Amino acid sequence: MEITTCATLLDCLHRDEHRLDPAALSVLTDEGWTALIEMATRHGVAPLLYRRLKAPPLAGCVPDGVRKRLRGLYLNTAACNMRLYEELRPLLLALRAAGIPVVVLKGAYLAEQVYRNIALRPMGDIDLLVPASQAREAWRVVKELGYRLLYPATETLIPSFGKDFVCRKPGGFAPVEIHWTIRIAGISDKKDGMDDKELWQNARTIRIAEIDAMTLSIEDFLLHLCLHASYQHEFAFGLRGLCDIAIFIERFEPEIDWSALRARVSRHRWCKGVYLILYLASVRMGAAVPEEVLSALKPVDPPAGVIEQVERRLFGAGAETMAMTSNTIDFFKPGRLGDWARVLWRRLFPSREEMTYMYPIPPGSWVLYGYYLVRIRDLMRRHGAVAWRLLRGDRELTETVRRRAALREWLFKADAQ
Amino acid sequence: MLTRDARLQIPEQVVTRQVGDETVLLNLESGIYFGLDPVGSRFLELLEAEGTLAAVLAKMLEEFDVTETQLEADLLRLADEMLASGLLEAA
Repeated sequence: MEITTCATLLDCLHRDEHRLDPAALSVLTDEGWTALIEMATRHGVAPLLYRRLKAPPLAGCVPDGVRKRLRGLYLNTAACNMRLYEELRPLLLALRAAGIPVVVLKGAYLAEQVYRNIALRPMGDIDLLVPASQAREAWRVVKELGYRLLYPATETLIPSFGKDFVCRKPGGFAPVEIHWTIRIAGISDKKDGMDDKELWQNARTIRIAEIDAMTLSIEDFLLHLCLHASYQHEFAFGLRGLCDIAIFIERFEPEIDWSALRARVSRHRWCKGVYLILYLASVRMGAAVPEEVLSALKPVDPPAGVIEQVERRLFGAGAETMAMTSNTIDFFKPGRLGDWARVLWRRLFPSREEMTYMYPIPPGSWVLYGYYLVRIRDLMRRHGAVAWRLLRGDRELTETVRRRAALREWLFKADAQ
Repeated sequence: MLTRDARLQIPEQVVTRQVGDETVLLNLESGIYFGLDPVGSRFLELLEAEGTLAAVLAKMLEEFDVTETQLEADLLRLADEMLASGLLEAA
């Protein structure tokens, strides 16, 4: 059932509108439709499914109840995003008035300028990039608009530690993440993030939420999407991430400078992750990635079954992926006792700076030390059940850890080429 | 009771947006939203331009193949629903 539902959903999201045989929908039972809608919702692609199913040749095969349910999800996405853009507009105006250049990242740019219909791309927050030298000034500006830091103690760390500050307006709709660097969590030091100077040099002017702002160059934006889905989320990003890449390529197909993108990927040794995600966008969504680009990026040493492993993570959003964080994998993967103890210590007692990004600690407060006890309790709650199953030798989970650890090790090992 | 002479407008706290072939209205205070199909979208567009239901009715009768009685009933019902949801208000 799960496999059939996934195949149907993938065909519905494919660039080729005729990929799915309408007969496949005609035989769907009520349970089948429910499974399809639930999977699409879990993956953040229900509005895209609605768009495909309300148009010929599939429209005639969709029961009224299903169409109404999907339309409800579509309108809900539109309404949520409208609220988000209502928050974005004054933010952009205030930052511009303060002379701070702003690059609009991810969803806010994608929904309006790439999907070109804000109802099609669900968003959970607003992501902006400001120059590191003006990050503190940016915080002052948004603070004056009534925003409060989610983690108050991080105020003193802007921009010396971390990569962003997260704030929210009381009564506001969504958190706002203001980045001063694009660092991809999980990428080792050698591959750490994109070149901020280059990003600003290449940034282009756009009009978003009816305000003049900036966004990344076409190649940088595409690269950011690829790195985010591959290295940062280790492919457990769901189908929305794959759709973002496919639709982005469709939107800018004639303008993408693939050789510039290839050069940047090779320079930073991001070939493995970028190849895998572009390959899947091409095969599963019909994204027009040139064959020579895929050939040039293709890793020379892919382990057996890597594509299946990545697909399992990509399509299984919400199941295995939620419980098994990369830290859990590092902790439970086979290794030496010394490594295990080191990971345990690091997880139980993160640095004070890291703690300020995890808990609502008042700036400069001794309360921070008390939060180390909260930290232990939280880790037990979050990972206790999984840890217990692993310690008891649960075969399925042990195999999952082994596969994940192998994928991580290969992915983050420096590219051979 | 709403009549065709009613003068209606979109309240200040309501934002509208074209999404695909539909228009979505969202009341930012209550969070209530409403999706209008292309015919409903045309109704809203004309209401913003003309102000009264009577003027909208006259324009839409020219554009759509429908009887006046039917169209009037449909528009009054839609306007009533939108008023009740706070997505329209009396001007």
